[in-house]
Amino acid sequence: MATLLKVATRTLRGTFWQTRSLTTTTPLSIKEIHEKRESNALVYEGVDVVSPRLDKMLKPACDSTFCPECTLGLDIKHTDVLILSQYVRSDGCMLPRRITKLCHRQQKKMGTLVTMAQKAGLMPNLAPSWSKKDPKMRFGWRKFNKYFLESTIKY
Amino acid sequence: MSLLRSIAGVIALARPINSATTVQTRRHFKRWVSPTLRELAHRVKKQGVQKPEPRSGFVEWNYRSELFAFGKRLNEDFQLPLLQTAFTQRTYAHQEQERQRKLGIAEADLQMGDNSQLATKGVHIAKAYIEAYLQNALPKVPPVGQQAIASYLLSTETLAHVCTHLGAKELIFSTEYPPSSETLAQTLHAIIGALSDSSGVERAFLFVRDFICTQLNQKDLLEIWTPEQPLQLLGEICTQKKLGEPEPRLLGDCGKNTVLAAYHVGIYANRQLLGKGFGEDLQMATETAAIDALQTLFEMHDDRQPFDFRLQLEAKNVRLD
Amino acid sequence: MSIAKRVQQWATFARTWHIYDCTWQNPFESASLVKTHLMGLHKPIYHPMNDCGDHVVLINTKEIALPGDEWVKRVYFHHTGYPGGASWTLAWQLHEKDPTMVMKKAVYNSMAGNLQRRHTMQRLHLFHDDQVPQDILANVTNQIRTPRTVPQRLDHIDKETLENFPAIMDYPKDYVLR
Repeated sequence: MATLLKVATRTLRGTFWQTRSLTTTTPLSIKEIHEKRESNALVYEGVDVVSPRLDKMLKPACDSTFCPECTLGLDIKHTDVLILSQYVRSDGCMLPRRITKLCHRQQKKMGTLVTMAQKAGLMPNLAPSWSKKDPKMRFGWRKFNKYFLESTIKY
Repeated sequence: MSLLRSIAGVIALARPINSATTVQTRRHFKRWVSPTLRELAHRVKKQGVQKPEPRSGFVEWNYRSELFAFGKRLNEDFQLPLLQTAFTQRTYAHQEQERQRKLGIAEADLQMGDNSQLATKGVHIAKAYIEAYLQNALPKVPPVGQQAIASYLLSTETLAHVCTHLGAKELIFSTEYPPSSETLAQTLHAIIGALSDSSGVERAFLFVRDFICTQLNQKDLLEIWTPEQPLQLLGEICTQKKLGEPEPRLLGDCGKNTVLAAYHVGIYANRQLLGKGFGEDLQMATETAAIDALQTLFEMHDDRQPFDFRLQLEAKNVRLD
Repeated sequence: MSIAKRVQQWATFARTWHIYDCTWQNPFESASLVKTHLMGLHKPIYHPMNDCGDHVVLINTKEIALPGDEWVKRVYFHHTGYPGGASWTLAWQLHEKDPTMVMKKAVYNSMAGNLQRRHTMQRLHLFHDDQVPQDILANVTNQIRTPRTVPQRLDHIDKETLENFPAIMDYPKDYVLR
């Protein structure tokens, strides 16, 4: 009786899910925008890509919502560019909270740390295309080395 | 001397002892005190440096009691005539005999002993004991080193120093005052000889140990004896003891191109560090490292076990020739 | 004095030569450290009347780092002695003129102003880059540990480390890579 019931529910659930997958919209995936020029026509194409970070994810730490300080107890400095660069777009812009999934306080702090690292010239390759890239080429006093104290971050 | 006494008298006059019952403080000095003292000081200065005056020149000098006290101070039982002989220098004895002969005293009464025989005896005792003591206290030091240390202990300066501080200076019958260091050294030898005659040779040995050997206390032995050609000597000793070929290696240096260059060299044999040394150049540093290694091998470092001055050496171990 | 005692004295008063790399170091933190070695304060035999200071070679003074915006906040004052002869130079302007001067002044000002100071400063050797004359470099036998680690630029990190470094954030499913 019990087995009969189980088989019945399984088939029922199978049919249910099959019906759910029949949607009119395409499934979500990460896209990259490619720009191509084909004889006087500029073609923009959204290509589906696998996330480059997929196999590098720190699994045990990132199962639930993850903040470096809240979950791991990390004390991140502005010199930890390998961590900070993950929260930054290729032009050096801080990613929004919707994407970083950080708590509010961490988001603000991370933004400040990124700014510090950029001012100290530690992430010159993550910068807008028009920037000089090399921090030694900056104007006036900005060309000299400077560092920041994390204790000056207010939140 | 009389001058000094008169000064003392004047000072005593200037400050008469107040009676114990009523203390009367005086608020002034007499007007004559200052000019008098000044005049006296002036006269002393004009006379120049005076020769030291022997204590025996004083009126209340009692030679016999001093002689007795000398033995008692050292906790030794001397035969007083022997001790007096030990204090009499040969030149003094001759001088005295001449003086008495001129006065017309009979030849038979002119016999006056001197300390030369006692001194010869004392030299033997001291030398034999010190050598035996060093053999016992510094067994690993080679004979050359022991000889050097012994000759330091038996040198005129050391003996004179000991003799002066035993209080023998005033007791010596000598033609000159203060007695020369040779006289003092000879007297100390003679005292040892006299002690040996009075209370036996063991007692004399202990006297040598307590008063001469103790001069080694806290002395830098390297200052007394430094091995010559230390690297060569170290090589010989290493082959004897089968430690391997000694090999100097640079441990550190600083300021190579300056006049204050310092090098730190270690001497290794068979991968074992034997000694370390510093120097202003490599050669000097190597040499001092070798000396350091030798000091360790000979157990004559500054931080070695202190000398045992309670050592009881058997009399048969001391070779008296 | 025996030979061992003489060379012991020589070794005790030997002047050691230290080297200190100023890259990304705060000159004022470094100054107290350098001063200690210059004056011999780190030695047990130190005494103000005892001439036991060491030599210090400072290299890469051009690469010093100041915190925050101190390059524009720190001002060096000079007066020629004539009326209106006062001048104020910002730290970055001074550093532009002479890359060793900020460091030199930091060490100089960290010491008490007594007669010894200028003699002590003679034992300080400053170089704006790492090109030190060979005869000076041969003397050096010790390196002073720097208090601040030199930060690594993202574009100088090698490719392997970059690829193997674990990610702590993945993009959401609807993200457009930029």
